[in-house]
Amino acid sequence: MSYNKKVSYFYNPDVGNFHYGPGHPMKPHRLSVIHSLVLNYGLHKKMQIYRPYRASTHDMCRFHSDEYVEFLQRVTPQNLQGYTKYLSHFNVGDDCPVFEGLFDFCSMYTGASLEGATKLNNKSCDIAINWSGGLHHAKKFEASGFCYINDIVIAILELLKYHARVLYIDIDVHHGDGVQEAFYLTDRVMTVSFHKYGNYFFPGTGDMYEIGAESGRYYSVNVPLKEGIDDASYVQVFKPCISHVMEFFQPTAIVLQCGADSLANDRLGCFSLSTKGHGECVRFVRDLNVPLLTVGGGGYTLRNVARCWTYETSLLLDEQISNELPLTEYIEYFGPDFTLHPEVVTRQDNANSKQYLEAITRHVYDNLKMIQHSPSVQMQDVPCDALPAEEDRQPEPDPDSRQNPQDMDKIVEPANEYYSGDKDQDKMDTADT
Amino acid sequence: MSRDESRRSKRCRADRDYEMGPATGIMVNDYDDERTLDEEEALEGSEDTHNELSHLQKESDMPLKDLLVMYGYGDMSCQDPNKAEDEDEDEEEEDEEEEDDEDEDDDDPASYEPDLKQFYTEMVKGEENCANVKRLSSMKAGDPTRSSESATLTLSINAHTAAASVDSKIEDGADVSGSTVADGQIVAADVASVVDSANDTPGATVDDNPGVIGGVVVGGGGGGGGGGGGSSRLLRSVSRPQSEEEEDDCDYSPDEEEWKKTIMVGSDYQAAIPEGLCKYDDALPYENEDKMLWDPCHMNEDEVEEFLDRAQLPVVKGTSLPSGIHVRDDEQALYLLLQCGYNLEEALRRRRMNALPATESVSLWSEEECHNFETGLRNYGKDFHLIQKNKVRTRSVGELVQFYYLWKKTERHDIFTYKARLEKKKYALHPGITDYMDRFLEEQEGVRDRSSSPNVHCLLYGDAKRQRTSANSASNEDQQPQVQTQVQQQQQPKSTLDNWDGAGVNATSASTLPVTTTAEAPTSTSVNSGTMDSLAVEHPHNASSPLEIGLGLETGASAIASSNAVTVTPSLPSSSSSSATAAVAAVAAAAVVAQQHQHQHQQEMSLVFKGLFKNAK
Repeated sequence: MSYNKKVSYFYNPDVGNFHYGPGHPMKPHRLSVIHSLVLNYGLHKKMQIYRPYRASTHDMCRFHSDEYVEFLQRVTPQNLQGYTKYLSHFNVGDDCPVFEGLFDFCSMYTGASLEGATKLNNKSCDIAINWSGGLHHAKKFEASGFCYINDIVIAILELLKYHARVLYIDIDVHHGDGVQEAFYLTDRVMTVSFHKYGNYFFPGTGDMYEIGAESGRYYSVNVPLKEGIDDASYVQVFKPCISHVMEFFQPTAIVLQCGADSLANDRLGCFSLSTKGHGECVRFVRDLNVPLLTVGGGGYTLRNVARCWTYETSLLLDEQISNELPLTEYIEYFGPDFTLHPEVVTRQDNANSKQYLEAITRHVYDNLKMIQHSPSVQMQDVPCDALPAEEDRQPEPDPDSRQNPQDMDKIVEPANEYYSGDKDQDKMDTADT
Repeated sequence: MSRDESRRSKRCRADRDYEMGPATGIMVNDYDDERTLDEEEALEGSEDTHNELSHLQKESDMPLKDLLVMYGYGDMSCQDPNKAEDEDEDEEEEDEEEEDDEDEDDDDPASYEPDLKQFYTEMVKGEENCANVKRLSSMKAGDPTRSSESATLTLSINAHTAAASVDSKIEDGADVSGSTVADGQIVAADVASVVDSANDTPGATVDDNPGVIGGVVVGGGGGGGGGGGGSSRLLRSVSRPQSEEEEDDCDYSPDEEEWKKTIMVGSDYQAAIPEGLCKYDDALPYENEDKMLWDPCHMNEDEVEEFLDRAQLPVVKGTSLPSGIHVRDDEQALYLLLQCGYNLEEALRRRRMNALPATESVSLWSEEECHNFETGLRNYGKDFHLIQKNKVRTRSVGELVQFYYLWKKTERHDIFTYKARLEKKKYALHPGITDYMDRFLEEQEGVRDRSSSPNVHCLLYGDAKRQRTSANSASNEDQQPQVQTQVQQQQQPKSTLDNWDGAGVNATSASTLPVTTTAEAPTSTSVNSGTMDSLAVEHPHNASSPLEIGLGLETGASAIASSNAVTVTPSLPSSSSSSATAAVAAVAAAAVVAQQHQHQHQQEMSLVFKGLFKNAK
């Protein structure tokens, strides 16, 4: 079986040379380390390499408010004094400090994501990679959680020019609140986030009851998890959830946020994933064969982030790379094992019981099923003017004629997989048909 | 916008917390607030704990169905989700009525669960009152039908909260009784899931009113780890605010009001979705503003590999650096190839023409710059902006950042931190003055042991222009590859031993020539610059154990690295930074003498060292 996906990789050599300030866990320099590993593994020559476009204020304002973007553009560590009243207004300060080159940084990572989206739209590649992007907390009017400009939202908006339905998947340990909020009311973007929830964990959203609103009702999917989740448990939830999402939502493009703070021993995270487990999710999404924009995100233990995203670059290219790290100028960071997949030593137990994971998966499934009951124009692949109105009212918006067999499948599968004796679901399904 | 407001409403709510019945003891026990703790203790005292425990014990043995009935969910568990939409509306109506009623009956906690419901409604209402004015103005985005939706919100959160409290109670009970832990947890999970499947109005988050939500949201700040009073939650400070035992009973669910945030709805929050689909024009929007550096589609892989091999040749020849297991991709060579239209020969020819392609990003650092950088780091901490402004004007902030990350893993850095520690002991701290070094050192804890790693740094020590003034042996110390130990201890960079040898710089050149020239020659690979040094200092974290200094001498054109380990007392490194080139040879000689690292030699060696360095000055 040959792998013939075209991969484009967007990297600005300057993007790693920013610093959030003393003691700040976000270290843009991880991007330089990743790039160095990519080069030294010989992955560079296997993909299209771009030094990306830098996003303009105009691009940023496609999502963010003008005043906020203008503020980001103007504020510097030197003139900070003059902006004190804006700092709290835009939530700039503690988590999101003003650092030298802030706007350049934003413009680099946003431009890269935006360009990834245009390349996908233009079908000049199947997979676009921008490890510098993925800043999923940024809100329309304010910065949040180390994120200033939400490159993901801007990239999705670009994808929506060509794609009726875009799926956003977030495997950062933190909830992808900025993206979810931006698309909370629309049925053209489904956001799916797997994250630690509860116990004061940032950002405090991502309850499983957050499912979207208005037209977007059931188009926000949240999979709250507890600390310490390991590879097996994570994959046990991830795969069925994404399969269900694919089945019901049928996206024509996917944006995958690969936040690496869900890895074990992250400075801020509390999951116990290995690079392989994390990568397995990426591989799974890759194999869905839908145009894919892959972005970075969190990840606060530099060496693990670098390992993870380097490995995932190789997965997206379907290239085998050795477990032994190549010699790079950053090799010191990877001691004492100097391997790509160090053994995971977890410091905490997996607090997610099998029952809990099954329940949450079923919850996701149940909500997704509701999409059928709220038909949407957007479910047609190509908008077509001659569409008869009554088709909108059909409970099954899929234009395929295989409706009935599909329904049959849906009745069978949940009975086998998730429902143990509950009568209610049977009733519901029969009522469906 | 509504920030002040939400602070205020938070205060409103905080006051209310203290009026709550016993159930709220659970709700607030995550409050990181002394007053609340006291409050809680007081509450505990007044309760009949035995009664409650036996109660909980009973509950944990109860079948799930009974339990659900007891907490008012029995009927919902068999609800038909298909009717959800209809029932939504019913609930909405009901709830609106409820809202009207509940103003009066605040203080009558008949059981936990109504109490909780009440608590929540009341809380929301309180905030609604606080934020009422704002609400009116912010309703503009919503339409009239929305108010009923926010009623739904109340109800479903009620149910949700109640479920949460069931959950946490069960678990509390389980903890105490010991025998039923597992049961309790399963039941809890089940309760949650039953409730969720039954409760088809999960979108509890719809609300037009930023004031209300803001109140709920910001209220959590007080509990969030280091976050003070009303400040909003921080990502970096909240990672693990809780103690171990709290974690145990804080699974997915409870006490959401304390920390839960809500997704906001309104034109201030959502993105404007473009309608319909569109097409690009002939040209891609950003096509001419990016830069393609490489496209693999035009050549097959073997050809590219061959090109890369050949492209590396001229550079490698002089130094005979083995390329290692992985052939590094050379970005510039590939870009050149692309520019030459994938014409191999042309690209190679051009490459040969300027054998040392100007490395656009990185030029090597002089000792002076290194020194200034370190001084800057000492003075300002990791504020690279200040360091740049005051100490290293020759470099951009970006270059400083890049340099920092390479420098951080050198022995030079180790010496730096070690010295700083010593100075700390010598001079008393000035109280009240922010000590960046302190912070810096704290961050460095635990990252030190690199005794078994290869050490390659391409950035340190460059720039032949500048280094005439200050080539010094301290720089040598930092770059020692530590060939002997590291290669023995790990198989991975086996080939590196050869690397070091091959590129080795002889001792004479190290001492007579500027250090930096050697580093410059093989710029193309990152490996090489670690080769020209002859001293390595590797010291344990622990100041009480003696410093080990490995002295690597690379002798003559034969370029054989021979490392000698010398043990010296910890006082050594403090004197080593201001060393001069001449010292290298002398130290090396001394090292040979002291090869056997015997303990009795320690004192002597240290003296020798000191003497040498003094002389050198």
